[in-house]
Amino acid sequence: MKMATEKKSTLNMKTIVAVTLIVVIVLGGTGGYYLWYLPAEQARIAEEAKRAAEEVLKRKNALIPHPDTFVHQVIGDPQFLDPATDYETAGGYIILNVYETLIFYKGGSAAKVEPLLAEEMPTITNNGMTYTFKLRKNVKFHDGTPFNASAAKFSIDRMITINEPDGPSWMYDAIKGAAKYISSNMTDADVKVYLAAGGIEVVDNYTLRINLDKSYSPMLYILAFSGACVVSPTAVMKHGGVVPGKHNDWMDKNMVGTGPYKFVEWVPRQRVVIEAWEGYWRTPAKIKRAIIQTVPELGARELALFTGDADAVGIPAANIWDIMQKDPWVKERKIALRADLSLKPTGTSMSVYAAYPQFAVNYIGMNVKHKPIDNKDFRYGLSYAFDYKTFIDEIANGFMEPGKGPIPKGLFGYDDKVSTFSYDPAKAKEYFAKAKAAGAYQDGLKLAYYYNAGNEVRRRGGLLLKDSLDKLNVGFTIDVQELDWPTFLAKTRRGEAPLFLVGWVVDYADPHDFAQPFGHSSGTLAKRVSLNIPGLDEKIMKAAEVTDPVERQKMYTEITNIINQEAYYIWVGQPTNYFVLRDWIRVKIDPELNMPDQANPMFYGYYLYTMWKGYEK
Amino acid sequence: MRLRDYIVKRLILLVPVLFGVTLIAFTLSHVIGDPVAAYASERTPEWQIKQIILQKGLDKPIYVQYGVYISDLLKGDWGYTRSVNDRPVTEVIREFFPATFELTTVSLVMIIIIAIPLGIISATHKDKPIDHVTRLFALSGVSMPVFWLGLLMLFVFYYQFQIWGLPSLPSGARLDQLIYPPFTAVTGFYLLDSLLQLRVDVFLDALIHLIMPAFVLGYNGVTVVTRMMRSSMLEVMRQDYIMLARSKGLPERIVIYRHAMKNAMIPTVTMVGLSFGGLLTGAPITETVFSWPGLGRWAAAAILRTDFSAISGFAIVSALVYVMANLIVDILYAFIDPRIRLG
Amino acid sequence: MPSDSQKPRVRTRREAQIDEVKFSLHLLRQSPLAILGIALIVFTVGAGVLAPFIAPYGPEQRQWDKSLQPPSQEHLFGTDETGGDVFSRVLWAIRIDLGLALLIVVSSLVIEVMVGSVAGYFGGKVDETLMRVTDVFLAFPSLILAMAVAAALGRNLYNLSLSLVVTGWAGGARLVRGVILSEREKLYVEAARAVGATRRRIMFQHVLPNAIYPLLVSATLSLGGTILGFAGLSFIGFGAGSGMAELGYMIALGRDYLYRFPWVATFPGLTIFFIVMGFNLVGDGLRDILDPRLRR
Repeated sequence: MKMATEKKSTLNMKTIVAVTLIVVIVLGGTGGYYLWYLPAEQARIAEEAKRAAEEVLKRKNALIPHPDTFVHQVIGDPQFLDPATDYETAGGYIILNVYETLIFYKGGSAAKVEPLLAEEMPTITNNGMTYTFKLRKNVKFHDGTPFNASAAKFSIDRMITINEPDGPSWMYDAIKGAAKYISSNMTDADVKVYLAAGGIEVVDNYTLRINLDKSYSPMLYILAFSGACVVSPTAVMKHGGVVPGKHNDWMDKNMVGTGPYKFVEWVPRQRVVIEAWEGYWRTPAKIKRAIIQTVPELGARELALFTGDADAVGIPAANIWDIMQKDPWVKERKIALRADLSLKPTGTSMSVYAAYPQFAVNYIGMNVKHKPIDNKDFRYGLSYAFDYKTFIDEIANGFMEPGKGPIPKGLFGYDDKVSTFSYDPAKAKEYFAKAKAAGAYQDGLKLAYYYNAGNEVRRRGGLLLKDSLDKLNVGFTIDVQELDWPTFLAKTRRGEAPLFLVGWVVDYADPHDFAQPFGHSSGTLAKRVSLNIPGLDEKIMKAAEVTDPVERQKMYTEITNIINQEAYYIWVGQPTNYFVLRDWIRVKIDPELNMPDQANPMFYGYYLYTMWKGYEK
Repeated sequence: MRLRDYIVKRLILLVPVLFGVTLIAFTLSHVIGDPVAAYASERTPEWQIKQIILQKGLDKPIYVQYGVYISDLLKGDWGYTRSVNDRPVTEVIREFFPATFELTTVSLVMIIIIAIPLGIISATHKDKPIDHVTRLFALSGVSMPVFWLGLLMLFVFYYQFQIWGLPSLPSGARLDQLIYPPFTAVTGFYLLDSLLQLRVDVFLDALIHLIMPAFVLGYNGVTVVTRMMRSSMLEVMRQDYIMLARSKGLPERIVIYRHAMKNAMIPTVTMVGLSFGGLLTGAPITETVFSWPGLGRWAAAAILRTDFSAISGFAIVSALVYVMANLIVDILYAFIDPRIRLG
Repeated sequence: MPSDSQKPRVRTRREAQIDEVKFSLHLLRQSPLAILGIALIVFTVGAGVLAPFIAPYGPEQRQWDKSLQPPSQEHLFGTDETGGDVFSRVLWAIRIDLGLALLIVVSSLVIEVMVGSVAGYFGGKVDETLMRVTDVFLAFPSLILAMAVAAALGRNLYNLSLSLVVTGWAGGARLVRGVILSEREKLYVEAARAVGATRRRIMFQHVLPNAIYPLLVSATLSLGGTILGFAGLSFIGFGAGSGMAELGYMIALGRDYLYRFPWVATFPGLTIFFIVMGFNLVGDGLRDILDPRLRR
């Protein structure tokens, strides 16, 4: 009996050991599978997928034509490459990349400025009349000479001394002594007087002080404008120096600055070439070379974009359908304020970054010097006769915001609720009838309407107005005429144009830059329509001095309402800015580094420092 | 008269023609246009404008102004062009001249190597299919708006070919911007410079860039010269001495090339010379369509901006070239055809 | 006695001329290319003349929301960038282009005949001077002269026409002079002189009528060239403006849309092509017919 029990216990031991072993193996296997094999396998798969994606990326990147060079085809040549004399967008674009100012716009904001060549924001003392800047050290010019306070003083003094009548110097007249010099004969004696006034002081090697002769809130933004760019004094003195009232020919055609790109060559009416500079005070730019070609023919530019010969081209709003092909994204596009920038690429391999309303205003000027425009009912008739919606939707292809007044949307001082006109044929007919009854004009009247040659949107705007007037049948129509730009400018400046469609682009981000030219009787645009509204001048000058934003806004709303009610201008719209690029262009906005990004309404052209070519996100 | 006397006589006749051309240019820029605009721009201050008026005698009577104008021309002061940032006209001409010259020269070569053989073939195979095709082609050339042809060719050969993956011709520009190592021209005549610097790649690249614009520019000339060649060949082949050559038993090829062609060439040479003038005239339009950086594009833009100093500068230069070309043609003509210089 | 009907009758000059014209028409009928040319001309000119009746829309009738539509039943040639009907605009444009071209050629012809006759008639110093003048005009690049004149006087259709007359007359004048000079040497002139006819009578009654034929050929051919020149200059920006219906101007406007919306520029271009081709074919045909050496 003992034997049977013993045998059973041996069996039990064996079973237990066997079962345990099996359990251990199974557990171990499963565990091992999950803990080692599967993750390893997944890692391997992930690794392969990543490598495959990299391969695809590499192959896609390999197909990018000229990966180190950025080719941009534009409509027009720069006028000058000297920040002291240039005052137009084509030159401003190049200057933006080659020269730098003490302070510059932050990110996409047109209201916030940040230090660039200055180390920190300036201290403003003396009731807003003194700005003290601490400058950055270890910054060099492209010719190797060091940047310091005397270089900065030299640059601004030089810009004022040259005083190019069509240039930026007028904006800086708040600087002590500048206003007096600008209106003088610019002799050597006048220069001495200006320098003695002490508008710009070198406190020490890296501290600069700017003194104004009155409190002037826009000054900070004006210092961010390209007129205050710092140029290399050594280079200037080596090539002709500074002559009061005269251009420096060499500086007009060459550039020596502190920016991320240095100047290589300018072949007039053909191209400007700039190269990334290794000695830049921040990390050198990623795009090594940039060629900005002047190609006046739209068809050639479009072809270059499609084939990849050009990375970016200028396309007028009237032709934007060639690129967008009535993309559904465009229909629901949101024209965002600068604060909400959505740089959403669209289309297959083309990108159109339509981001924000530009700080510009397009308008039809009605010059009251020409009868019967001096009759207010007549002007009201015209204002109601313009088909605003068709203009924006069909002619500008949607790349325009409705215009409400001289101050553009997005800029402080803009008010959505000012009184405006709309397209109302019945009302138009009424007002024209009133004007005719008062004897202002007779049937068969034809007035000349001018636009500048090449601008399709403005040409069609004229035809649109003509069609509306013809449909209204009030005995009056317009004669749409094209003029080349210099003649157009001259005619409108002399007040010889009864009706004309043109635009005004921002210089510095302050409502005064719009209110004064449009509304003040001495304003450059007001003169073209012979505008004189009693009492308005004082209001405009006062609004520039007020510092309380709430009160200031109230004043600009009032000013806009007054201008609109007098009906000197038909606000046809505010253009939306957009960029047309191939989709391999990447823009990186780095908030840490104080880099303005692409979609800053204060820019002309691209800020290449933030861009590179590749398909990485 | 001897050949030398003939040349001298022709050279002398040049003078009144040039005189007339400068007169027209002067009328355009000083009488119809505003002479001050040639030396000033919107930005020039008042006192400088007064200085200019005094210096150039613009307050004196017309014939004095003309005298000043001519002496300025001879001195090398042709005014400033506001179409190119107010640079001196002479500088601009020097800069753009090589591009247009290369274009018209290659065009001329194309005309010669295409039109003359085509004309001969058409004449020798009269009324056969190839003749009809050639005649239709020739007619199309004279009927087609050249700028339209240029646009179509750009579309097909530059854009569509790339889409279809075929080797394509480039658009605009005289050289590929991204050619490596970078190439700097010395004289501005890229074909010459590239050979001088022993850069065959640049030479070929420049040539490829020239093909389409030169073809479009010369298209009209090709067709005109083809027709001329054909009709003069036909006329020559009817002559007695051709019948004589044939009856002597000479092979047809010798008859055509040795006897007929040489004599048929004479009026054709004149035509080729005249078509050179047509090339200059067509340059503004063709250069505009292809964005070719030459004198023509400058002239077209200048005219739209009423930049009269540029207009008269271009007019004088092209009149000079045209007259020179005609002179060369006439001399060649006299050389080839003994009847002219002896009669 | 032989009957009168068998004696060869001497034809009067009038009868001879009519017979010649009949023969020319006969030859014309035998040349297929010339007939094609005539057909083209009749077709296009007819379309232009009948424009007010067959064009569905006016020359400047725009529908802003229907821009750049492809050809359809409603718009045979599609619409252009302002919503105008391309088919109608082409028809209206034919009137302008052809009408002005005709005006230009006729005006040039008048000047050419006057200058050429005076040069050929008087010969000598008068001839030399006039030839120098034409040389100057020929040497001056014609396009530039036309553009400059148009720019100076203002850019509209009439000034453009004027400038084309100014540049075009020189070549024709030389032709007329050449013909007159060669006719002067001919036997019949000498015969007339021997009989005692005055120079003026020879000129008007004998020489000029013979000079008409090459002039006719040259005028037909130059009509085509004028249309091309007119379109070319309008293309660059002279002449027509602001929405007018003119063929060269329409191509200029449509050029920006050539790749996506080709009909805007293609149809005007084709129209120019066919009209000019027509005139060239007819001119060529006329030249072959009227050349006395090829005639018999």
